[in-house]
Amino acid sequence: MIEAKLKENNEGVLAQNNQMPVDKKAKSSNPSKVYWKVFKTSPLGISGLVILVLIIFAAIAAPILAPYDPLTQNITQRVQGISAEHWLGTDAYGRDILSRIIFGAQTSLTVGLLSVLASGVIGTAIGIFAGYKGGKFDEILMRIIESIMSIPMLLLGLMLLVALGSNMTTLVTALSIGLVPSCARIARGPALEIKESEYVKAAIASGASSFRIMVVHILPNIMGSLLVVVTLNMASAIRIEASLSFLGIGIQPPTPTWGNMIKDSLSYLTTAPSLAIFPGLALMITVIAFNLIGDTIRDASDPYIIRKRG
Amino acid sequence: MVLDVKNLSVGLGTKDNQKLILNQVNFSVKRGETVAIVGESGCGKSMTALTVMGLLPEPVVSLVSGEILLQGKNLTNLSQKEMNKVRGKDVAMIFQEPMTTLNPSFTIGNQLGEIFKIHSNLNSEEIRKKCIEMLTKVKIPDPEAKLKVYPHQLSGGMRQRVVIAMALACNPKVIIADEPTTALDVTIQAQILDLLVELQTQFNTTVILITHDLGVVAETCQRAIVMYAGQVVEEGSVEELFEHPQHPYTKGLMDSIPRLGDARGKLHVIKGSVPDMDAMPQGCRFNPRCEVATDICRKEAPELEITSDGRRVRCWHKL
Amino acid sequence: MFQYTVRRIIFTVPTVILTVSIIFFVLRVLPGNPAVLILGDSASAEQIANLQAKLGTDLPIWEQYIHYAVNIIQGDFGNSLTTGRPVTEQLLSLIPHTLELALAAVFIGALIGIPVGIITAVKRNTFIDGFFRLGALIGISMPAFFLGLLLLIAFSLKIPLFPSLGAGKGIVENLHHLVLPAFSLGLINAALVMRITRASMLEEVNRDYVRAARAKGLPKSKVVGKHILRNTLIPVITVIGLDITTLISGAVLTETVFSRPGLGSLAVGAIKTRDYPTLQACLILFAILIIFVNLLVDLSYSVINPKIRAK
Repeated sequence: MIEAKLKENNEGVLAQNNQMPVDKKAKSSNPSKVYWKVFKTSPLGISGLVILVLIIFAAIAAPILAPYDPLTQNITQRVQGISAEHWLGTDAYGRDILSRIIFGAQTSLTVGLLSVLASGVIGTAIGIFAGYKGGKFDEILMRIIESIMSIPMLLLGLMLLVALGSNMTTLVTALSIGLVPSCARIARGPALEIKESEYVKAAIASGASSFRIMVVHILPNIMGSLLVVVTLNMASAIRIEASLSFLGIGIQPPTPTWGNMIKDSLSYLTTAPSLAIFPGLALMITVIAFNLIGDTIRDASDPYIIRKRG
Repeated sequence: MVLDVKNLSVGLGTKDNQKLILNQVNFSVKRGETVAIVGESGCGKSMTALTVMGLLPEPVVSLVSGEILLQGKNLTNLSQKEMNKVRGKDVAMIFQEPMTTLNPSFTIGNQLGEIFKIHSNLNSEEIRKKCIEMLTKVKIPDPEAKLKVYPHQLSGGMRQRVVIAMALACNPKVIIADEPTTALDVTIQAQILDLLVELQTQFNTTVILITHDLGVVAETCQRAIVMYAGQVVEEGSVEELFEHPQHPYTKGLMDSIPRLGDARGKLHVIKGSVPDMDAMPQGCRFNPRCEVATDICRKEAPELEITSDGRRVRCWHKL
Repeated sequence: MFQYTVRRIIFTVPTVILTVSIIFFVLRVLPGNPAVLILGDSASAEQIANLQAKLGTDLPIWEQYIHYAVNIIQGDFGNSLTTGRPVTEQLLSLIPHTLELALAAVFIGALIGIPVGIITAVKRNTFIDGFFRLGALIGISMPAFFLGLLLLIAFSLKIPLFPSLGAGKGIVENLHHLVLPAFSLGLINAALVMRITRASMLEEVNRDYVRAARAKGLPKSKVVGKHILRNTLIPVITVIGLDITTLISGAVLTETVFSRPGLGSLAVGAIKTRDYPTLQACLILFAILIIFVNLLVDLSYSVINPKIRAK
């Protein structure tokens, strides 16, 4: 009877293994293979990647791709519609919109990338540290994180840009601070959990330093969820940057950004709505690409979904 | 016969790539009887229960062929709407995990009363009385107060009593109990089984007990059906099966029961494990694990033969 | 339950203090001398000294902080630098506008998001599911101001169904003015609510209690409508609540797009005119509002989820 029970248990585990042999194996050997596998089967994920690659390409190759200089004004060609010379028309100063959109990608991606990287490193460090150390330390850090979270990123940006002046450094700093909580929270949970696990206890017993445990044991365990958060953060960073520029407090003209292009178009909404629509679409498509990728990675790392697929 | 299951086949997967997880399952159950369905996990016993209840996780798993006759009425022909009137009223089910079978967000009274609400015309006050009556029957102390309680406020044993009360609520003709005590502590297990037997005699209900625990079978059932790899391999009265198992698999199961005073020898183990769905052995499905298997076992699948009254075996070399 | 409530309320106090302090230090300490910033470099020493006295920034920082804290507790946010009127008065007159917009957006979000989320979960992997999921993806990717602009261009400038700016006088006109801003914010909200409802529901569908409820003879519709729904909505409510952050940012942008009076446009205006006391007051109000809503969400969560209630 006991044998039968044991068998039952063992077979339960075996049956589960059989259901998803590929996922399991790939997961233990190389997580990027799992992601690739999910991307391959997800048309939406693939389209996100393709869009993103195109946008990155456009940003890097902007000086070659853009038909005109984004800053050159041409008073004789103000607010012109779509034409053979100006594919997407011109703005109030006669600047080529397509060129400005292409150069705008540079700004958006740079701001997004810098703030996401900074917040990812800082947030993860704080989260792991808080979760691993626990106690008072954790309590205090989490209160601070909570306070930051109760100031919307847009307002945090407004506040810092007003206090320190509108420039790229302040903008990236503000966005980084705003994004830190999301990374810290995602890192803290697993850190708390893994700290209690037998293998970490064994590592401590064998004299591993705290730093080593945090980097070797805890960090790899949160990489999956961190990747999701970072990708989705990229989407928010780009959106907020555009919003701040739209409010006239972000990147200042004449540097083209999608946000300040839309802001400049406000006086021409009735006569030339395309001035607002084209940069808006560029912004939206970029954010969609990041959201698509983030969603796909989440599906790949969510054990629940893997189980369903098996 | 209360329940007559005829040639039941159930497939996993889509039509063009279907694997049978139940293959021509036949059995019938008399009124007032307690019948066990025994087997290792993955043998199809739970799937049989879900098929009878019409609760297969479609479209992943679906009925391929066969009939389920409940007092002569074929359940497989019923629409979902008609089946809803049968479920809970004529056939009820007790699940394995009392922790998760109750909805955490509703009170006991709500979840128990629900059954009367759909299967009877009682008003809310009568339903309340009925609920208290049912909770009293399953020996839950202070039933009136328990109506307002949420599942997580009860112990596992108490929750399983609630689940039993739900199954018995409409005095169904057949109750299918799927491993009703597996998730419980040993002392609670005995209490729940006693309760089940007591209520079964009191209500004169038919119980199909699905279990892998032969001890439970010996204590509670009159008859047992042994399943292996989606097929019935042996059927008979509990005494016959325990004293003279005819199928090597049944014998293996019996031998692996630890017995008091037999401390010297090691427990018997059936070597190997249940075959994978994708790699069903040719011939008799048990042959790779069988100690008496011969060439014929590896080539041809044996039929389920009636050996004596109420006794059936699927084996070339009956013991 | 009572204990939990009290404990939860006490826990918000340090968060409020910390948040208010952060806002204070960022706006008062970081810029160096706010008076110089407001008046510009060309201002004379006398002008700067006058403004410093008016702002109270000539005092030591800790003294400023205490003044500031005491005043806030009394509901005094100082006087606006542009209008000279008490900021509190201005805030109170604008709160209804923003509140109206936010509530309408939450309402639209829940009214569209929850049913669509349920439908897509029930009809998983069908055309309907794909269609709405794509819509939701666009919704969560859409910056609030861009959707606002699109609606404005389409339904106010091209097809003049709705007014393009202001808040209107009287109930009818007021509601007429509310439609476009509320939808531009509400649709984005709906996308978020839909996604979370769908995910939450798909998780609940596979739970044991669902099969058990079916075994009792409950029709599928009843199992979905009663058993699954209650458990699905628990995380949804959290999201609607947490979404207050998105909602406030959205309100700031939407009010700007539609030139609608409210706290958001007040804050944006205050930035342009360097009206520090007003900006500070707006930020504090938003932050406290968010903390307060989070508290409410936590408490309502404990009412819905009996497991927490027991603790």
